[in-house]
Amino acid sequence: MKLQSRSYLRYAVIPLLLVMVLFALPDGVGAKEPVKIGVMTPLSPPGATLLGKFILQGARMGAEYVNSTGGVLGGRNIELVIEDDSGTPEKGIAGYRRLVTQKGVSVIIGQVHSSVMIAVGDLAERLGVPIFSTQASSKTITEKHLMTTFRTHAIDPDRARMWLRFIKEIGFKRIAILAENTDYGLGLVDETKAGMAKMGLKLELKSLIFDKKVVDLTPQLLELRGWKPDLLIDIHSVPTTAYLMVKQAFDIRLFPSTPILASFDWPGRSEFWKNLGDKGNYILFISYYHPKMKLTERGEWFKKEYLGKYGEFPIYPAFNGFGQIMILADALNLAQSDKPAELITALEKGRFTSWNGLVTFERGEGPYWHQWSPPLMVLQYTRVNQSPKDAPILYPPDMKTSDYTKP
Amino acid sequence: MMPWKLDLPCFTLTGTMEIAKAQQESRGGIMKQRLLRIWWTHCFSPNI
Repeated sequence: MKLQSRSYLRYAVIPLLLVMVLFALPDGVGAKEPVKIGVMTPLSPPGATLLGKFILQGARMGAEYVNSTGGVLGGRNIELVIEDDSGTPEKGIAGYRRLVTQKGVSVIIGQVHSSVMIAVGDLAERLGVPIFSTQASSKTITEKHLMTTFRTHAIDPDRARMWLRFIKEIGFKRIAILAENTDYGLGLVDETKAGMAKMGLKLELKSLIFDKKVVDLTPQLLELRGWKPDLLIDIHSVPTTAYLMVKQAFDIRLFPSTPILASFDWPGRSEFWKNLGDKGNYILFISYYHPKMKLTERGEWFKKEYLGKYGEFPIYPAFNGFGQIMILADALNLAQSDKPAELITALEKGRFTSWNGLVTFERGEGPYWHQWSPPLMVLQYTRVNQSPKDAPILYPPDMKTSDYTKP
Repeated sequence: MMPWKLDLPCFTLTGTMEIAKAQQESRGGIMKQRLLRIWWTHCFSPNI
């Protein structure tokens, strides 16, 4: 009978007590449940898959950095949950729902396409889990003043103002715009017109809109060649079709005699010269990063580790993916919680060290709500196979290292 | 609360000096003092 009592104690009571003790422990102790962060970004066509890939690389290294330096909330790891939105609003909405209702993420980063981010923004406001634009730039995104929307990327009015100032300085008069039929493309055309009016710039403007899935831009380029513009502003969100456009513009002898200004930094990637060779020389492009820029300690760590891992220096989308994880790690610790509502409060009141400086999210006016903007520059390639770090800076005037080079 | 104005990126001190050198060569102006002042005002911070 005694033996039976001891066995009962060993096989039933002790395990039961252990289970009770485990359940009685506060959250995070024992199992150290990870904090889940969603990365919803385009990883398949028709989305800008390269941007998605770079953002994901940056976010993954951000999680590695945080997890190897003690994690968040007293030792919990960050776990990334990946979702492909293909750059389409319907997949974005389904992806957001899945991440929030099935995967239990606390926050989502990685948004690239303005049309997706705008569609998902309204749903996010209802479900309460914050979402970050990593490279979606339409002003509508932050202009709606949604509590769950945050951004660390340039907005369209600032970008349009930047190229209008540049155009004024160079003295171009006839400006052609070739823009895709998305919130990004159409938004930038509108912002350019609005900026001209605000600045009192008297320019002749001709804008042609193309379908995002286009496979041949020759008809539009021939029409623009006949119009004889001083500058062609190219507004693509998918670099692969942008390469096609430059090739076709070169083949019909529109470019480089008529300079092309790329609306973002896709010419800064290593595959630019592989894809275009000498056809790409003299292109002008907007950039938010320069390899000689001053970075934070975290930014320097990322630059070095990324080079070791991928054999090339990181570019802006990778930096921004990494930076958003840094911001969120700090915000989680400030909130002392992974609950979305508490995280939003922390994001609004904190100052966070990203890759390129201190970041804050204030309730600013108009599109400057929960908005942090990187600097903007205009660079130009002046020889084949030139590295972005050697490309002359044409704008802003204080940092200008060369005048515009005519071919 | 940005460390730079929208049109004023922060470069490393070495990068800033390289820009100053390029500006002196291409534009002939004396921009070095101005650039260093910008660097000191906007970019010299333990967090940037």
